[in-house]
Amino acid sequence: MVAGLAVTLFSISTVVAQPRGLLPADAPVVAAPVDPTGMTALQARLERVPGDWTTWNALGDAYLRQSIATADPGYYSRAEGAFARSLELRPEDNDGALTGQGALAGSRHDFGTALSLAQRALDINPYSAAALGVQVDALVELGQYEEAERALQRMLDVKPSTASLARASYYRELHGDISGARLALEDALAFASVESDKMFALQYLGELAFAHGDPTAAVQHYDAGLRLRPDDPALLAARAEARAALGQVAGALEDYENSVARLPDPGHLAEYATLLAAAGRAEEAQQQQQLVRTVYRLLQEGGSAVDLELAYYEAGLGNGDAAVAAAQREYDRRATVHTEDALAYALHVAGRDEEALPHALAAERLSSQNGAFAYHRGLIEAALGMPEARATLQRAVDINPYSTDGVAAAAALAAL
Amino acid sequence: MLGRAAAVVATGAVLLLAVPASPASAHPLGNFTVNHADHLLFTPEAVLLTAVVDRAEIPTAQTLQQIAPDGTPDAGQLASAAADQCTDLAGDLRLTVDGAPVAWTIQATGLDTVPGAANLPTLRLTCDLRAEADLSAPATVAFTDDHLDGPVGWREITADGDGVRLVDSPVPAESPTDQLRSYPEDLLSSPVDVRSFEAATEPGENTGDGGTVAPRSSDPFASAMAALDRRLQEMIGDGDLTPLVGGLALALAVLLGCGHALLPGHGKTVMAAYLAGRAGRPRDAVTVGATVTVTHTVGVLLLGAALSLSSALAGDQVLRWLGVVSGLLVAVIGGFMLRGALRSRTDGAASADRLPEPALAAGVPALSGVSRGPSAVVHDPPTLDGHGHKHDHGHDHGHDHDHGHDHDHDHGHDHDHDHGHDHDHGHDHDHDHDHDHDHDHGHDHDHDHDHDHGHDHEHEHGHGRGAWWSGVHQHGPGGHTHGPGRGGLVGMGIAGGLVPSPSALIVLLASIGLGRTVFGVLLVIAYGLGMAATLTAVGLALVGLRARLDHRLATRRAPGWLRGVARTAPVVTASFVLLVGLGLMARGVVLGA
Repeated sequence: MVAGLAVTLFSISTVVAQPRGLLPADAPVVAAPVDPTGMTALQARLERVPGDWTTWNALGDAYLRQSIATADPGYYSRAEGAFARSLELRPEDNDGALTGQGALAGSRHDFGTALSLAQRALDINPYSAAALGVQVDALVELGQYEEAERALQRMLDVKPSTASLARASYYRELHGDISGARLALEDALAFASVESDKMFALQYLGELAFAHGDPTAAVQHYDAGLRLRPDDPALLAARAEARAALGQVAGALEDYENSVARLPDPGHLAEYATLLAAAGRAEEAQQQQQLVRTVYRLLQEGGSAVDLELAYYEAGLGNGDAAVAAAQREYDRRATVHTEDALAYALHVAGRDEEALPHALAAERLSSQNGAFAYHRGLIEAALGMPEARATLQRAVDINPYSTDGVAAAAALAAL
Repeated sequence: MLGRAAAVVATGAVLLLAVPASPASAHPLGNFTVNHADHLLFTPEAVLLTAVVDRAEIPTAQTLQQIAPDGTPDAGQLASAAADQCTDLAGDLRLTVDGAPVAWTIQATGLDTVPGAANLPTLRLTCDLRAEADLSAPATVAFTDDHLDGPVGWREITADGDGVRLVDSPVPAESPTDQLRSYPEDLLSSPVDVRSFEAATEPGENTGDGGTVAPRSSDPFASAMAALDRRLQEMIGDGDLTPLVGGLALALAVLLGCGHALLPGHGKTVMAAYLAGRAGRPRDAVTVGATVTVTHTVGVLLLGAALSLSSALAGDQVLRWLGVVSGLLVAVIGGFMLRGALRSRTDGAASADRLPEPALAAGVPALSGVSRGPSAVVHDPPTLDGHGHKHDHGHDHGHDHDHGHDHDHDHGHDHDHDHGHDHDHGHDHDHDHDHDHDHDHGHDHDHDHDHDHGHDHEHEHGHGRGAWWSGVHQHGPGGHTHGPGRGGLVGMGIAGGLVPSPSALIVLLASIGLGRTVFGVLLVIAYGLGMAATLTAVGLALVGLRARLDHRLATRRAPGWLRGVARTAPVVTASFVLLVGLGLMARGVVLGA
């Protein structure tokens, strides 16, 4: 659960490395750092040699990584244009452009398209670690875990790197192997040669620590990441959550405020709103909630598939019907442990616990040690009067007593 | 209550991705950006600034909560918010004139809502500011905008003058976005993020376009060369290669080769000095020209092949290394020259008919070569031996696996994967995109050929200096007695051609990348021919000049000072050549580390 984004980001960071040559500085074997200077060299080269499709791929990759590093969408649309240009120039045997487009589709949550693009790239070049990465991500997000494992193993064989190790970590976490997940992430950190990869590894080490009940360690990882880039919105929001769990409410609110001022991510806004409400600042909480709605509306308007997030959001607000509608839409697209959980929780909030139970069980089919899955299942079992509810809720508390789910599970347990 | 899943999936990535899918959005840059445009107008008595802050839908929603909690601001609320925001903004914009900060006064403010995506409003803030400043005399102005530097967005600064001329302004005079109304989507330019600039001003009319005009090189010859270079790269990069275009490209390559030979750098001109100074004959000039051509062509092809085959090889490192080797050669030859010159001086009588060497003519461009050579950008200095290995390595891999483990790990690793792949597909896609350019395109045969050359070349000047040219020396009529003789000529030729012209290398790599390897090789050969023609011509001219001076010294009574110069000049020239060689080496080794 933690690494969903990690995987996307890592995949993008290794889509296409810079071409060798005289112009750009020599790039390390893992993900090359993308600085404006590197892009400038690629741009300058394409000014002179506009027909060089491989450099178009490299430029697309550079833009993509820059858009992630800066969260500047101007680079994102340029990445799209660059890959399209490359494909125009070289329609056949252009696995680099297909891989880039696959990474773009994946980050747009269009996993079916991402999968087919990755497959086309792999038909051209079966040894492309970048294409394998896109394929692994798409398979995981489509719930095809066995195929994902095979692709992941192949990726690790072809190229052990930060990108493949981060995916291995996520895969282990999904299957409940938390210590294995941590080891893989530590390896990923050791492999990371550029700042952005280090930051991602630190962020997901932190999230892994937090998700399994160690907010102090989580804060240490986030602090290490924030030393590399002090205003990174994702790290700030992650640290805010851990600080809030440790009772450092003022620091947490400050982190949230800085994070959403830089990047108004709806998930972070919602967490911020929840914390504001808990701190007794109801009016500000209300404002942030409105913003969340605005952002989701814009995202949907823009064609992004955000139903999964929306389902949790509506369910959290007690809007059962809206939550079920969103969760069902997403579930119809892909049956993953996350969409199972979202649908189960939404159905529970809508009072349809009978229907919810099979989905709650399916959400735990990989034995993920996921506090949210356990909590939602426990709620459903309790609503159905099942005796297992107590053990399930206790398990949710044990996984992470600090998370909002863990706290809520403890309260539900006490109320039984 | 929100599970971690929500936090995980709904991230910036999603926000980013909403962008291209909504082309109708008022903010192609994304609906969470805050975009800035500052337009400065410099007049003799004041600086007028129009600042526009364009908030996309989400920041607008955030801001509107403070302006009008009910979500629909009235005119009064907007007007007072505009005044507040412009006050904040004025505090974040710093302008200095000759280092002294000047204060802004707010002239006019405006805040408008503009409909955006999903029928949500966006906010457009306009602030007209004025700062009193005396620009009736030349001054230096500096401007910095730190307003709202957290959120991402487009940030442009433009500057114009009315009665004040901006000298070499780094920013354009016209807004590229029509003051944030339309954002260009140029795939080859990054989104603008300019937050400060500095320029000199003087009274007069501002006529330039500012920073949009590319700075021109002050050296017209170099700019002409750069223009030709671009033209050639366009030719090989675009469209179909018709015989006409191909022929033109080859002619252009010859021309560029001529130009490369004339541009200062890497001891080419030291070689000319040597040639003229050492009683050279026309045939010697041809020898040097041919050596330069062969060395350069082989060098470029080798390097191109190596760069194509190996992802662990950095072009700039190799260039630096070749620079060091070239410097070493020049220094060795300089040493021989010095020894010979000192011996002649001791002999005394010989000095009477010795020619003053054109030390200045040769030395100045040679020196400028020291300071301008492109070779010095690297780290660990490989040994000559190591250099040879790299080439060998590429070669070996073309055909068998056996030698792979002899060399460094990076190579071994990369190549293993590539190799298998090459067999499957016969072109470039390896696991490690770094090498895309290079692999495919089946130019292995060319490489093999090149590598043979490389071998000979390395071994020969590494170990057998005397052996391979002694025969030639024996046969030369006239029986020169000095120094390394013809060996020196060839050595100078190698030194001159050893450092490949980056432009030839780029042309070759581009051709390989486009699957036109053979054509790329032809272009490189054309480059070499152009260089050879030029260097031979220069050498012949110098030989002719020497002959005339020689004649003059022999037939007429030269003034005493000329004789003095003639006596010391050989030593000076030789020392000079030695120093230049050492300088080239030192630059490569020390500066590049």
